[in-house]
Amino acid sequence: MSDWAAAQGHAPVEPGSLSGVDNRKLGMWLFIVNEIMFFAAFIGLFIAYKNTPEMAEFRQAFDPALGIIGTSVLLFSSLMVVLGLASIQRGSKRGLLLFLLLTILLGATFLGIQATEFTLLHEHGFTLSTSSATSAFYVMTSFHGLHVLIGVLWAAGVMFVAWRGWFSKQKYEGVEIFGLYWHFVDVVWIILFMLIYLI
Amino acid sequence: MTETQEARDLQAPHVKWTRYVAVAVVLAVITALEIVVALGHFLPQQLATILLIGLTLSKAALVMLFYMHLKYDTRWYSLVLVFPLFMVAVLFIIVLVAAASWNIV
Repeated sequence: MSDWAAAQGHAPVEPGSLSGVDNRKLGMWLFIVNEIMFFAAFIGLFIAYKNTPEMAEFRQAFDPALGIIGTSVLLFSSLMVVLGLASIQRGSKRGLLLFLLLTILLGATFLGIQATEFTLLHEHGFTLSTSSATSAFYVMTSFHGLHVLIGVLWAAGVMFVAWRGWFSKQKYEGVEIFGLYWHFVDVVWIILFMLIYLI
Repeated sequence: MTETQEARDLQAPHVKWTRYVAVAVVLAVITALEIVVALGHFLPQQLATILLIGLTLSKAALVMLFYMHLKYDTRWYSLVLVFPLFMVAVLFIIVLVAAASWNIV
């Protein structure tokens, strides 16, 4: 590794590495590929039960307003992450901290909305064990919610190390790799939103 | 290419914040369109479904291209995605065919 790269904390340019490929970023993309297959299985199950009478009955209990608000919150949080990245690329640590804080708040808001929705559905008598359709819904959305929770905790960790001065104008891979995860979780919700509330 | 140059190239692309905001505005507009199409019920069901799938995929593509930087990064990252997306497409086709044969679609 060159002195410059070492000084900036960049990933080593290992022999045999693909040109222009950061191994840490490639690792994150491979993790995302793994996650795609996980979510595809859950989404496939949900699609299989989409037009069943049980799902039709279940869907009457949905409040589209909650889905719309949750989607808006998550899309807005993705904007906060890239604005945080743009801030640290310009050398603004305060900007990064502010946008990470907003990301955490928006992620927590999304989780609150999901908890509210689950509570309302339970009050309507739709639980995990009510039918195969409700099981497919709860497993799929809970798995996504778990990813949001992990993302919120990760954002808090990134914020902590940012506050300690870990990132700079030249060194911000940690922010970008967190961003890849967060945006992936957002992309999954974009698809779930369509499947659950729109079609 | 020197190692120093290569290490510099590994950094995330510098995208103007105004572009990020512009993408967010487009995402908001597409979401609004989706809600109108889905809850307005003014299009035939099948046409609305196709339109909604198209709008959703364009939103996902926008996030991946601009926020996940696939538009700016080396193509190797995009290539990593090709195989799983193909497998997902195959999986969904199998699910739909199987569900149709069980008379639940």
